[in-house]
Amino acid sequence: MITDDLLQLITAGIDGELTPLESRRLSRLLNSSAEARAIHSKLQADRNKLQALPRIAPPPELQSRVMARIASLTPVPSRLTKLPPRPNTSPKAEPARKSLPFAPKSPRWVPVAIAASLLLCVTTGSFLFFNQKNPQQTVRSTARAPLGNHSGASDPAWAKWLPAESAPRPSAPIGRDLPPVFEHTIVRKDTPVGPAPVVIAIAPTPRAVYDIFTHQPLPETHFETVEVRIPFLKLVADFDREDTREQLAKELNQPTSYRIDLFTRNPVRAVELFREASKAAGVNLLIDANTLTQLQKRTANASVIYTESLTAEEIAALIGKLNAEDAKVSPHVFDMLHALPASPHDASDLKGIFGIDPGLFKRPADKVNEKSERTPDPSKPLSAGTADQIVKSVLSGPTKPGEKPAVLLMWNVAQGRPIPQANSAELKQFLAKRGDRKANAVPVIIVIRPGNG
Amino acid sequence: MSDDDRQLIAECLGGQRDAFGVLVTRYQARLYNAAIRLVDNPEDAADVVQDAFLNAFQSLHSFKGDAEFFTWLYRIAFNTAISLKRKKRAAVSLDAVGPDGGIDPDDPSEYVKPGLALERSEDERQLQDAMVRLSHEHREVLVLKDIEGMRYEDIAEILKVPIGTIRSRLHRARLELRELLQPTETDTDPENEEHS
Repeated sequence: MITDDLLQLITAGIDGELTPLESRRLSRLLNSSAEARAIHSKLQADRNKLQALPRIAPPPELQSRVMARIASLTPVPSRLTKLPPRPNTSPKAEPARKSLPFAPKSPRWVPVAIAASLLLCVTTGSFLFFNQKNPQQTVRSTARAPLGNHSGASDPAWAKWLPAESAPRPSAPIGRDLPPVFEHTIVRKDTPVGPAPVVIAIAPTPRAVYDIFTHQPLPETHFETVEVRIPFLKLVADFDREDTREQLAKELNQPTSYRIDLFTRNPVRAVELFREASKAAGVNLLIDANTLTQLQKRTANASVIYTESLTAEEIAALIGKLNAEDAKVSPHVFDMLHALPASPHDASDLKGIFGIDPGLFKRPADKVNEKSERTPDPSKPLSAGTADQIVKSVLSGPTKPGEKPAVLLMWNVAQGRPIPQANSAELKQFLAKRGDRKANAVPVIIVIRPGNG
Repeated sequence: MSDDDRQLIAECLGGQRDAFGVLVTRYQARLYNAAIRLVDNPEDAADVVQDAFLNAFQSLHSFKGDAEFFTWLYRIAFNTAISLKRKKRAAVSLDAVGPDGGIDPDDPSEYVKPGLALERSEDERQLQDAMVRLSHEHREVLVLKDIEGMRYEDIAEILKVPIGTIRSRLHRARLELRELLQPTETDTDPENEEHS
């Protein structure tokens, strides 16, 4: 039995990094244990394979590309280079101010606040000043006796201050107690100026109130009801559970076609795993050669599988097999599975890729008709149509009973329109193989794409 | 560090960019070969090498000369490769030799011996497939140890981990690689080829 300690000794021996003591220990181990020799031999073979890998040379233009990039570099400032000082914003750049010792430094918003306050004062003063120019006050105030003079008669000494054009206006009866008020004088708060004229504001006519009880009923509005279905969303890793597979099968058991998105972090590996899973599930997956090349060259990052030969349960089982393949690799390749009924847009994209309408939403023949076709009345002569069908099925493509064909092509609809691949040999083979759709088969588009694609 | 490298670095720091060109010529092949075994994709490997040389040029003033220039360059390249992989989050299967398993016609390098490459293409493919599946840590140490032929000390210097860590990583890496290669050695199913 090889312990972990001995195993480490063996691997260190493969590394060629043993001390003399460890070398002797390893020699004794290999001499005494066939198991250790077998492990050592295999690990050594692995190392030999790695060392024998051909050295791949860089592209010839690599150096020129490197030097071109270096040449385009601007001189990088060293760490000792000082940053230029900030223009008049740093505290040190401000002119020295005389400030009281212990006076707190004023924040920047103080000048703004002072300016705002001044503006407010000026605005208020202006409002109050010009507010005194209303006709009633003017009538009362003009041509009145100066302050302290309660005679009410105009004083020639003050007349010179009055504007020449101003004519004495009749003053309102004012008591002798009231001080004289001139036009230009700001009325003090404590100065009684008499009752202000009352201006009655007339309210606008009220708006019509739409009383629900009395108003005429609104015209009928028709709302289109849309049934919103929550998409089926699961981790591929969850498909090792039977209940998850049953949920998917139940989701797919609707009288419509489906689109399943498989999100992956490695589109190429994902296709390889899907191929293995298809094999395990008995699905004959025809992979377009050009698609695989484009994926490897990273000029495409998504692929689509189309099949119309699987039932809902078979599709769920296929995803289960996919999970089993994915579980063998680390890190896992697949993330989420997203299933939703196919849309007309999906059908249009598929048609663009196939070059023909594959009949995504085409329903299989009616069961009643099928039954009558399958069990013809032997007393009746064989119709020409039936005879043709028999001949066709005998001579048509190599569709074996129980064969479940599927085709994998490039899916690049993100760029606006699908890439036509009608010339694909694999697609032509698929179209020849697919035959009539089973009644319980679910046409499905499976898109393998990156998570952000 | 060799005197030649030291001289070239000094000239480069003195403003002679051509001196750096000599360093690029000297080390680009080795760096590219290591990079492509890490990122699997020729374009990404070229990007890694370019970025590594560029970073090295920009950081040349910080190179203390206490280690080999190539060790320091390797460290930059490996960090660049990690950043690139994290950014792209994908390790494409290295079938850069083409879907048919032949030689990549864009890389007719003397490094690749045509006759032998054809014979061991299946072994290579399986080995590369297994390498892709390795964790990044294990892959690094195997590339540096078996492909670049470095010693524990050099690998520890590049990856900035203790020598004991390198030893244990290599131990786990070899066992993991063995585990990944095991099924391919027992699989004799002729239906591994694609339906095309």
